[in-house]
Amino acid sequence: MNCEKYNNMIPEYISGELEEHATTEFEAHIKECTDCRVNLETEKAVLAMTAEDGYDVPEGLNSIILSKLPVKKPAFRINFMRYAVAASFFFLVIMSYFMFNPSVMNNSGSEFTFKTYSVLRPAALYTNDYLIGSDYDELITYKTELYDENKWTSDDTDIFQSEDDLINDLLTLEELESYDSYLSSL
Amino acid sequence: MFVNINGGKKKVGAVKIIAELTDRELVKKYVETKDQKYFARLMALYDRKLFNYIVRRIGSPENAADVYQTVWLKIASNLNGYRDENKFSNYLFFIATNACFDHLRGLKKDNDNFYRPVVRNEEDGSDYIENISSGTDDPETENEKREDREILDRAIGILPDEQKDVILLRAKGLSFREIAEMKRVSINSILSRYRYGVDKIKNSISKRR
Repeated sequence: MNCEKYNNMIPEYISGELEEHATTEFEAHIKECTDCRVNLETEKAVLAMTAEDGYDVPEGLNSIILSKLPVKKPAFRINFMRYAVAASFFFLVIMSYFMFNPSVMNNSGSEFTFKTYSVLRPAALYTNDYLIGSDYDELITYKTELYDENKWTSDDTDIFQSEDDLINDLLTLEELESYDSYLSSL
Repeated sequence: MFVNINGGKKKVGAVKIIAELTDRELVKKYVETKDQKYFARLMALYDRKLFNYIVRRIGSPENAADVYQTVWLKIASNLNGYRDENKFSNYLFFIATNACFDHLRGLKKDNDNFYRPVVRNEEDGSDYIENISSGTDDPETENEKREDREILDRAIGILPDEQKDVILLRAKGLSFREIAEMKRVSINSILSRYRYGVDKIKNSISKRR
């Protein structure tokens, strides 16, 4: 019998890596051959002894290792969606303020000019809505007269650059009252 | 009176408890969350196997603790590079083999105590004895087992590194094919190293007894 051949098969037989037909052949052989059977058992015993985990991991060693593990730093996560929504909302608030309050933003042609002084004149906020639907020509005439006659009380005389400016611009409450009395005197 | 709206049935959890997670799932979870509990679970699964492999591979329980620590810390910092198609145990022992090799090379360089037998005699002290787990067998059987282990450790200790590696990795459950892949040599070379190694161990044991 070719025992050397079968002895060489022992490691793979134990690890289960021997091909099926070789396994059948090997098993048939060891049934007949005592030497090979002893070799198989010895090799199994050596492997089992080697596999035995007889040493304890020193106490506390695992905890020490765990304490040395890299800790995940709290990531500086920017929630872009949240910030984008907040920014959009803020933008809308600001824009709506300017859009619905022509006293702050003056649209002359394609250019927008901000007249911050209007914001500082609360009384003027009253005026634009009041004037909508009025006779603009008359108003222009009136304001021009005021201007020509140096009756204009505002320091910001430079605002009368164009007709649009005049219409869109604001009057103080006193000026409106003056305009009302002018209209009633006609 | 409280009414159980689920009709008294508990919801069967979609969330697995940590003990049910596979190695791969544990690795994935740890990489994603860096939560130590996943790593601790991996350690609990392999700590004893790994420690015993290292002790036998380097032949020193005292130095094994350092190497053991190095291995786990390397694993922790390199888990991003762990490829999912490999078994975690193979990856672990691959790192461990390299760490043992580095350790032994360092000892060789220093020319200091290159080979220290695991088993020390009584004059050397009793650290080794303390490191051996206490079994449930009676003292006589326990002594016999310890003697067998000493003989085996000596026999393994004098094997060439290549043979020692294959035998110890095989003993930790790796197949010859997996060892061949890890070592990047043919399966026949691995089998040949294994056979030579086991024959030497068998001879050493039979001589000592």
